[in-house]
Amino acid sequence: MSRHLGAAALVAILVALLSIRLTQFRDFQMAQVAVYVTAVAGLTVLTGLSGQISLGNGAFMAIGGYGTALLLLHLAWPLAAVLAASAAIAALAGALVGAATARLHGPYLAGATLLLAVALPSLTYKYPGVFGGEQGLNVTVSAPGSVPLTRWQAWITCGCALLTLVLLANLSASRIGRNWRAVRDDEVAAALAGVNVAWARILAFVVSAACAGLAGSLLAVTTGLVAPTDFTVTLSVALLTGAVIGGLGSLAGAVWGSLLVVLVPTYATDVATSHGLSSAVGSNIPVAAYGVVLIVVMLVFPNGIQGGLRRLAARVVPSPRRDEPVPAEMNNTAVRNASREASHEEIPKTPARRRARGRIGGGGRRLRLLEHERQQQLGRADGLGAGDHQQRDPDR
Amino acid sequence: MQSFFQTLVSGLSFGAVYSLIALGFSLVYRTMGLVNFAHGAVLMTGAYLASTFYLSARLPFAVAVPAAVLATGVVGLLIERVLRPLESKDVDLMLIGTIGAGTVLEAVAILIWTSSGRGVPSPVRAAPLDVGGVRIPVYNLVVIAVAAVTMVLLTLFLQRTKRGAAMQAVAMDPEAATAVGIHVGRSNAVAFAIGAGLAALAGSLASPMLFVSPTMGDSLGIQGFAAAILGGFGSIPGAIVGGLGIGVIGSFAAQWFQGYSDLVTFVVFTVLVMVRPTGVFGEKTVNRA
Repeated sequence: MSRHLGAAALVAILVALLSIRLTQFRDFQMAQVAVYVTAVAGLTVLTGLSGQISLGNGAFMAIGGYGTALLLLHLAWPLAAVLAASAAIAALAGALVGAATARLHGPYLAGATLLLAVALPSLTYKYPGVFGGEQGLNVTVSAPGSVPLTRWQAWITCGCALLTLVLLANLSASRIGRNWRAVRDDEVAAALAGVNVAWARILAFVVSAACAGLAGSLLAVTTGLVAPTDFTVTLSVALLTGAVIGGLGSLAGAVWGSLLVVLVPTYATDVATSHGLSSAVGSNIPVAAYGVVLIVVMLVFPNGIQGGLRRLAARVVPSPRRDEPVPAEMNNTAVRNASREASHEEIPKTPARRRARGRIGGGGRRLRLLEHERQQQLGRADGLGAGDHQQRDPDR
Repeated sequence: MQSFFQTLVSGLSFGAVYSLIALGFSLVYRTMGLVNFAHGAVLMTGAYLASTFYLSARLPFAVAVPAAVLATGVVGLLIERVLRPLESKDVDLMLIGTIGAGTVLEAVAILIWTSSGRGVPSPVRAAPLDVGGVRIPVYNLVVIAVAAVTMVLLTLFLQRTKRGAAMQAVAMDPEAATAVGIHVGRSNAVAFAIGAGLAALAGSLASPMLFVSPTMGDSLGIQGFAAAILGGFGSIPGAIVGGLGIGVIGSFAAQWFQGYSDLVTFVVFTVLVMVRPTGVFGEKTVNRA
């Protein structure tokens, strides 16, 4: 726990120093990345830890954003209270959605949450008097003293993102986090072990919605405006993309994913405009490039960026426990996961049961077969210690 | 009463299109266990190809549509080939892979056809039929008929041909299918190509009723996805019923709750899915586990 706090304090100092060195635009980008980190981290907990997919977290962001705008506009609360209240309102909405979808899995859950993201913004058109219709609502915050506004916004968003990461890291290492993992890997076994499956699933939705609500609130503070076009399905898809591409189930992955989702399109646009492409071409080449990057990252890093980095790190610095003999009947993954569990690291999800049930996953049997073969190979290599070196897992 | 039937007719014709989209989703899902998030973009590509063949190459509509279906099928094969390394891995990766493919397709479509979109004149010029005061456009009947014939053909293909039986086998148990000599990768490729073809058919049939634009795939894709869920993912009768259901619900919601019909559709959908968590006809892939 103190480890998380220490790391967060270190990053906070770095971020503060960096934000002073950077230009206004870079400060704004930093704030944007922090907004995404907050939301993606929440989604990572929901999808990576509790195994529920959501394509509707953009809707919770909308709730947080509009909550912020309305609270600032009508009640003029202090900013910290507004942020907390927005997260709380979104958490309440998350409880409702979580309860309504507690029985749904895979594509059904994805579809129901997707439709939530489609449908919710249309409320703003229905009640333009309250939500400002298509124009949306203005959000004005002022920076204290002589701090430039964008830098102040970067500080607020990065601070909240770090706080979220610390809280989520502690939560996932706690009993609640273990319950989520148990539910993700096998609902029946979790229920038999005394975990209240429905509550665990709903709680994951609540936590994830609170994070998304806070992120929406921060987005409103950063952009100074909430409008229905800010919270489209595209946003929800981008959040899930960030979570998966960073590495599901890993909070560090949420940071990588957010960086990629926010910076790659901007960077590609910069490159396109600097090469003097016409606006039609120049604005769409980056979009295509972003799509290609998504595919390539998935092909190269099947465990997300964080998983890929971890593998690279393991190759450069072989960890001592790799040299210990692995009992033939214990599979490599189990050992690795156990050691990760001990060091509070996130485990890349390997829920064979979940996939085999033909939820959003399918093809589980193929996976299990592969895993089985791998185990056998490993067992042979480790147990007999002879021959077959070519057949060893390249991972080892 | 008259307006009720009028709304029902328009709901059913859109429902037929949604059924075709849902069929594409379901076919890919039951074979590969994958929700294809590029489906909407593929549909849009098909609609643009058909409208280009029809308007620019001046082919008759009845030739332009099959040509577009074939061309889009090839696009589907291409996507499957690129993403094949992900198929044996976690399905979330494939999800992001298809999202990436969809993004690329949309950007390429804007580069080729610009973002302004185009209207496609109805290929059937006959006056609407008048049945007891309810006006039924002939083209809508054509759409429903084409959709019905396609579904019958698809069912026959899956049940009567060797390739179809092989695909069913892969859907049930990929390992056992491999053991009896079925090439799983090829079967997946065929499923993906047929799914893309169905999307293209739906898109090109819908284009005279809607407006062909780079974003048409998003809304149609979401409706088709909802239809597949409502009927039960992977089930063919489910896709048909779900599509017609979503079409009719959406049509009445738009008629009665103007401006926030999306919200009403969502509420109805959520209630239905809460009652039947795996769709009306149930999941078709549970026998895999």
